[in-house]
Amino acid sequence: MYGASSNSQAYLGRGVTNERPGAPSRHPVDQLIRELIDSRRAATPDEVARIVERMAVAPFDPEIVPVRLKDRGIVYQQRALTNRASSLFYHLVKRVIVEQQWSEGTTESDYLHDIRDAIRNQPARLVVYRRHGGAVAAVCAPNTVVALRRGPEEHPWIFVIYSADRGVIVSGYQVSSLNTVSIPEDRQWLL
Amino acid sequence: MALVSHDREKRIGERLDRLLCEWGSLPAIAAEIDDWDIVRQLDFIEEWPIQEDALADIARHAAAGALTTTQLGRYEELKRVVARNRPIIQRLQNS
Repeated sequence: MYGASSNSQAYLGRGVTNERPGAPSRHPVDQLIRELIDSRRAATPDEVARIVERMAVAPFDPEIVPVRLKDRGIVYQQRALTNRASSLFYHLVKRVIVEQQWSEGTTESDYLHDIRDAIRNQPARLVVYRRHGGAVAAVCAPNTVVALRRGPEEHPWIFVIYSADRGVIVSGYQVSSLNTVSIPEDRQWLL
Repeated sequence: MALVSHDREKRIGERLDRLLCEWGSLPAIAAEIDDWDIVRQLDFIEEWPIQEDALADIARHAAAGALTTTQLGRYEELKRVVARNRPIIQRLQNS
C-alpha cells in the first residue's frame, strides 16, 4: 500500500487539488477528462489543448510506493532500491536498468523532461478511457529522446499515462507500436 | 565478437528470468490488485505492454537461433506460463 503519511503533504505541496488522498481531483481539466469519458461527447480543440497542457505540467505520482521483491537491491546513481521508493525514482530505475530504454546517467529530471516532451510532441495521439475504475488520459508520441539518453532497448514510441482522478502522471515508457499498447475498446481518441 | 555474443546471451537470460517472473506472478497480482491504490493499479496494468514487447523480442531471438539450449528450454516454459496466464492480464486490461 502507499505511504499514508506522505500523501496529503505530497499532494498539497504540488498543487494537486485533492482535498484528501483518494478523493477525485477537483481540477477543472481533470473533471473535464472524466466528463468526456462518461459522456462520450467529442472534445473541442480548446478542450484538447487544455488537457495536453494539464498533462504536460502535471507532477509525476509523488507517492512512496512498494518496490517489488525482484527489484530490491538494484543500485542506480548511488541509490539502492529497498522495500519502498519514490514512484519517480522506481520508474526511472526500471526504464534505465531493467528495460534499458533510457541510457545510464539519465536522471529523474531528464526522464520527466522526456515524458513532458512526448506529451507536447506533435503529432501526438491523445486518448481518454476508463481502466479498472480509473479515469485515464494517455499520449502516444514519436520517440524524440536525444541520442545521448537512448538506451540499447529503445523503441520508436513513447506512451505516457495520466490519472485524471489524482492529477498525476502514472508512468511513461517506450513502446514498439501503438498496437502493442492495449487500450480499452470504449476509448475516445481526442487527437 | 565473442564479447558481443556473451553480452547478448546474458541479456537474453536476464530477460527470460524477468518474463518468467512477470508472467508467473499474474495470479498473485490479480488476487490482490483490487486492494491497491488506484494509481498503482493503473501503473501495473498500463505498463504491461513493456512485457509484451520483451516477449516479442525473445521470440525474435528464438526464431533467429540466438538462444542456447538451456534458454530454449526456459523459453518453452515461458510460453506455457504465458498461455496459462494471458487471460488474467486480458481480464485486468478489459476491466
